[in-house]
Amino acid sequence: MLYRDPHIIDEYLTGRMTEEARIAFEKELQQDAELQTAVEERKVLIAVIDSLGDIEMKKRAKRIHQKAMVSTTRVRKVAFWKYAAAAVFVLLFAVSIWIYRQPASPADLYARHYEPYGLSFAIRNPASGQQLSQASTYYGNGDYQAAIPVFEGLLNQEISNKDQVRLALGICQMELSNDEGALNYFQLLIDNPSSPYFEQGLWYAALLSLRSANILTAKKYLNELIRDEDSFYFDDANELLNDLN
Amino acid sequence: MPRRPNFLNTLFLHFVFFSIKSITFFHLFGIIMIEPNKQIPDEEIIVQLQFGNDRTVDNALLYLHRRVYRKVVAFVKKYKGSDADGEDLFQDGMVALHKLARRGKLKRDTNVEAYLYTICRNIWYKQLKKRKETFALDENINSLPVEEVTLYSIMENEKKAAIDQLLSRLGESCKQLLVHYFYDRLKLKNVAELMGYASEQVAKNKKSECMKKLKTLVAENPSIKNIIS
Repeated sequence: MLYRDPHIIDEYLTGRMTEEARIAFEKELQQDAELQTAVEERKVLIAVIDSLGDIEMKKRAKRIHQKAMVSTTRVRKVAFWKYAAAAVFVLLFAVSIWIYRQPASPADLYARHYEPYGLSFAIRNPASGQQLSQASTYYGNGDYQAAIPVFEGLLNQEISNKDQVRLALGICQMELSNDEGALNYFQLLIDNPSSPYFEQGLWYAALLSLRSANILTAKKYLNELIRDEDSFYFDDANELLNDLN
Repeated sequence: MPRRPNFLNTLFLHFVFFSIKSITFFHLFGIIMIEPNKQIPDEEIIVQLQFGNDRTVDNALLYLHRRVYRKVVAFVKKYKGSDADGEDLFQDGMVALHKLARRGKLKRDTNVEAYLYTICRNIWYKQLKKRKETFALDENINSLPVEEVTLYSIMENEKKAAIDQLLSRLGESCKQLLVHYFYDRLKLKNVAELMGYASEQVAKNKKSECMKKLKTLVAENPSIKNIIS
């Protein structure tokens, strides 16, 4: 009877219960038909609130959008002498920077731009799902040595997201300083421009070349990336190319 | 006129450089044209989206807007969309990202900018599919990771209007309370603070009243079940 308390049902449906309480609740749910009805009714109400929340959040998203668009163009009026002073200081600053600035080394640029790709696998097949989940955990924890054999095992199976696994393997090899192994995986992505991970292949191959101070090859991959203005890495690739030039 | 020794010239240059470096000039003269675009770690953004208050959530979304919006609009324009479509899509993407974060579905190591871009891409593919438009990369939809959330963008305008109309009879404070508790997943204690209730127990009682009110409204409008299903 305690479980039929609407507040407890709400806690269950919104994932607020402890694991122990959830298991006990579900055990009761299986046996109690009235509780099942109550849960179903509550689900409908929560779905309505969810839709309302979406509508409210969309209004907020609109306000955020307007704020973002305005703040990029906001300029405050200032007196002429302040502009003049600003100009002098900016000029001095620019001259000082120009005198003192040293070009960044490839190692610095690599460190500034590299981070392991954040993977998120959609698991559809229970057979491969467990392996995928295990490999993702290793990868997420930075245990690349352990992740490699599990990912490699997945490549021999019938899975839909093989290219994502190839990208993961490339990153693992890169993290373990096996440049050749990493490049092999990235090359497989680069050789297939219709792959959803084509851009990632180019980006990480560029960074790999940068790490080994192979500037010309890095530029080749980066130039390929900036050919598509819609590429997710378009801005990053442009910035890196400017730094290298 | 006697020449200044070389080391004095060097000293002078150093002095100028370091003095300028140490002054936050733009703050000193009040000339702030664009807010600084410093890099915020993904984990910090995810924590703000998941646990933050309205202000910190808005700031996190504003930050993401500055970094991802242009890319999303470019993508939409490439695939049969307009600037307005891109604007609308990006707002839907922010709604979906916020919802995922609130439900604890974002791992801390997620590349949040790429994730938001992917969400937008996924919504756009679905919209094109719904319009029976053909497009390349169709097979890649299955590898995109945002299917567990029922996305707002899929809801049609008349459905939104029906929900809006029904819930307008619920009253503003009930709407706010229920959204804070069920949608934003705030604790009752925080709901009480936000709504200005004396205690958590008061918030709990209010929630119970509002849910009863909502139950009556839904019972009077059974068609709402079809809209949300």
